Amino acid sequence: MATQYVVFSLNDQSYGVEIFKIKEVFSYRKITALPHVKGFVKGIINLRGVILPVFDLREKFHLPPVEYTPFHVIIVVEISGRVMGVIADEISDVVEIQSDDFQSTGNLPPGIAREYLAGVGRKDDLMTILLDVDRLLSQEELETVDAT
Amino acid sequence: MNEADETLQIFFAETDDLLRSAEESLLRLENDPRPGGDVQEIFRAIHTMKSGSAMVGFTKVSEYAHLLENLLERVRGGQLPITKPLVSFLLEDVDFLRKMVDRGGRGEVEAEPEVLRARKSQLNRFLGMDAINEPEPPPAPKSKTAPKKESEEEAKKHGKEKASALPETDGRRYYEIELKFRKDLFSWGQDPILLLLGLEEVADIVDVTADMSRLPDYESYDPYILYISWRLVAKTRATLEEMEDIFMFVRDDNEISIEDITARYKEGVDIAVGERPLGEVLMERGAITKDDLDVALGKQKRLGEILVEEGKIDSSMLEHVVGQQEESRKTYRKTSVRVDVEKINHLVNLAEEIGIGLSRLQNFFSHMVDMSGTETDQELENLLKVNREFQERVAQVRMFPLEGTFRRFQRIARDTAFEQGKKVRVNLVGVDTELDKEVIEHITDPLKHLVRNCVDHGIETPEERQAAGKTPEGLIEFRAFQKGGMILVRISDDGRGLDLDRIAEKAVQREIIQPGEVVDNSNVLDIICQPGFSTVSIITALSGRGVGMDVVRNEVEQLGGTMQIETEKGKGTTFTLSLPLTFALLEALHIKDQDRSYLVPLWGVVGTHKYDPNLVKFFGAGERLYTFRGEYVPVVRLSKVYGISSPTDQSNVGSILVFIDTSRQCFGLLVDQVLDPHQVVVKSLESNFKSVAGIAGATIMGDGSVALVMDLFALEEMFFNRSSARSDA
Repeated sequence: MATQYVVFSLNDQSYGVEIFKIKEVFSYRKITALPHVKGFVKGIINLRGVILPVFDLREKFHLPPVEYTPFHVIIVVEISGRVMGVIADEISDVVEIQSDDFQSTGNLPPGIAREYLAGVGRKDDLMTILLDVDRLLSQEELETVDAT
Repeated sequence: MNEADETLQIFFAETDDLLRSAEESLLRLENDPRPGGDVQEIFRAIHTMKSGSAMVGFTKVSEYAHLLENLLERVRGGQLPITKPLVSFLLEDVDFLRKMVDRGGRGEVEAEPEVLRARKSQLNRFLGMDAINEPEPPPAPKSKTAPKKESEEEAKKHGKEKASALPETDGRRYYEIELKFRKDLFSWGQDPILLLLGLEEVADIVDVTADMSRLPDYESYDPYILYISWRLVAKTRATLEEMEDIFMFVRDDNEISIEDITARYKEGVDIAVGERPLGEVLMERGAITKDDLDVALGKQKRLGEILVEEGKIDSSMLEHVVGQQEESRKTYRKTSVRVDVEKINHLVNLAEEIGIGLSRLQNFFSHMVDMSGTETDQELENLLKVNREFQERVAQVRMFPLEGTFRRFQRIARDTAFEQGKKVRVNLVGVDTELDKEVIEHITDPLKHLVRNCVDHGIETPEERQAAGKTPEGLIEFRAFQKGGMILVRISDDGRGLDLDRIAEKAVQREIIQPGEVVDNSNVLDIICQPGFSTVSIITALSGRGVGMDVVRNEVEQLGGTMQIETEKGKGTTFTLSLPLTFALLEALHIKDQDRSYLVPLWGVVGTHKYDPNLVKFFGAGERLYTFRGEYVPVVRLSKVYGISSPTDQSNVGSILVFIDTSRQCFGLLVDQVLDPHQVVVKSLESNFKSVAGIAGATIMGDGSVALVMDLFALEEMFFNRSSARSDA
């Protein structure tokens, strides 16, 4: 059993999202900030006439912030009918991770909250942090972000 | 479209939906034959169809739906089990109803009488079957103690059965079978349907006639009694003996006769056939196909043609009359599809994006080289034009005439008047005026309030009117028309008008105006639109619905519309609503603050003013009041209201004030830049995200960037409920 993941980098770390969750990827464009919305919600963008929110995972995972450039990418995911964007440094690869090379969340340090993780995967000695985007970008999660 | 036409269109659309849902439910029932929701759903669909078809004059549809309803009623009540034959019969019924409506829509007879009769007799057959569960088990052996024949039934000899010695043609023989069962057949554990199904296994049933003459009327109908008898013609390879075996268990106590009529058929002298149309008989014998028959029938000369040939009438006369007939039959259906609004919105989005993309392209090119007159330039121009039209067309998909809405109001006005013993005549003008469906939906309720108000408080009783020298019948007019990019909807009456004196009195009491201030057309709307300002107690003593005019005005303004009133004592009142053509389009002022674009709905903007420190009065801890048009208006930096921290030095930015009046409160916002007003399409944030306080939605600007559209009511709330700690501007 193998699962395909799209791998992107954040602060030189590899993160993976299941390929089926991803709708498209495009280069970074100006984000319109929303008032009274803080945390990892950066704002909204226009994707072919549809307004979608954009999230900053660096903030969520306590990584140092950077100034975004057109070389950054926005990964568009669709979760239960809602379309959202996630900013990444770059898209690097699509990898197939065998179930043997998959390590569940049990033995991982804090830093990234467990509930956002599916586990970590290994491919040619490259470790990829596999994200559970459903949880990460769920409506409840957004509500709590907003509340804090 | 006239009223009847529109009703008909609604009926067609409704029928489509109802039959489709009935069909879906039936298919579910077939897999899971349980009484419950699905049966209820079918029942509801058929019931709705019954009344709908009666309303548009499709009596045959209505009649048949009524019978079906009876059947379904029994299924619903559990008296009739849900069996496969029943489900397939009902599915056929759905097709049958659909066909009748189709035919009716083309101006034809809904169903030929004989087709309808055959169908009805089939239906009645089901109505008679109560006692069985599934048709699969073979009929139980019948007790020999069966009573004798029914006395009222005409005695018939079993002697009709006779072995046939006639030569067979293709090995198939025709039998005429008469089935007259005892009335209490069901109590003997028998059911005609089983026999008929059994018959169908060995023979093709060519003809069935049900005799329902003994069927009593509905009240005295007893479901445990069999009222119907049948006459069938079956075509089969089976011998007469084999045929008789099918009826083995019922033969002795019922009148069953089977007669071999192959010879009669062969010689073409079936007496019964003589009564039937030739084509039908030929078709039945396999001599011709249905298509042959239809073609031949098509070649038959019409009455008119014969008359022309014989010189009784001339052809121009015929054409004229036939033309008129056809015209009058043309209540034909407009082909239409029902589409999810989401899909249309998606198209609107894309069309808009193409437009933005094209204008940006044009912009790029024009910066690079001199493009004017080149082929590329022409092509771009052309594309822009095509796209503009495309956008308009897509937007039009959402547009509907106001007619239906107006008709409802007409009805409400009449009903309300009737309740109160008043007389009104309702005039509708400009019913073809089209409005976005969503706008129509939003204004329907506010308008309904206004209509009721009109009748409740505006129109006087006939006696009062006559005393005032008016006609006893009051006049209410609904008028819709387009004016400068807006649709105006006007409701006027010739009633007593608003009692401005009493309104003034009440307004002074409630401290809305100063004593001595005059109430007239210019300010009366503002007064009666104050929350809780009851129009009822003011205008008349009539007990009525406490209609909040504030709700009406808010709804209209939320749509980006405005409202006006003109009233004259004794002459009447006119309310005018100006509404945007489409819901999504909003007139808004483009402003910039801290490099962010915002759009302020134009209806709330009362003015802009270059910030002048001399006009500022400080108020408490850091709050400011600005002298605007002779009044102190609180002002604050927009970024403060929205809670955006400003990194830049505040002294040299925020140079322009935008004054907002939500009709409840007035306030000023300090912003960096005021740009042009725009017509923008508002998109919701909720579809992919969630609602954000103070933001009504977002819109895409000409350069493809996203700007936020302000929600003025929420903004007002935020403005006046800021914690004082943050208001240090």
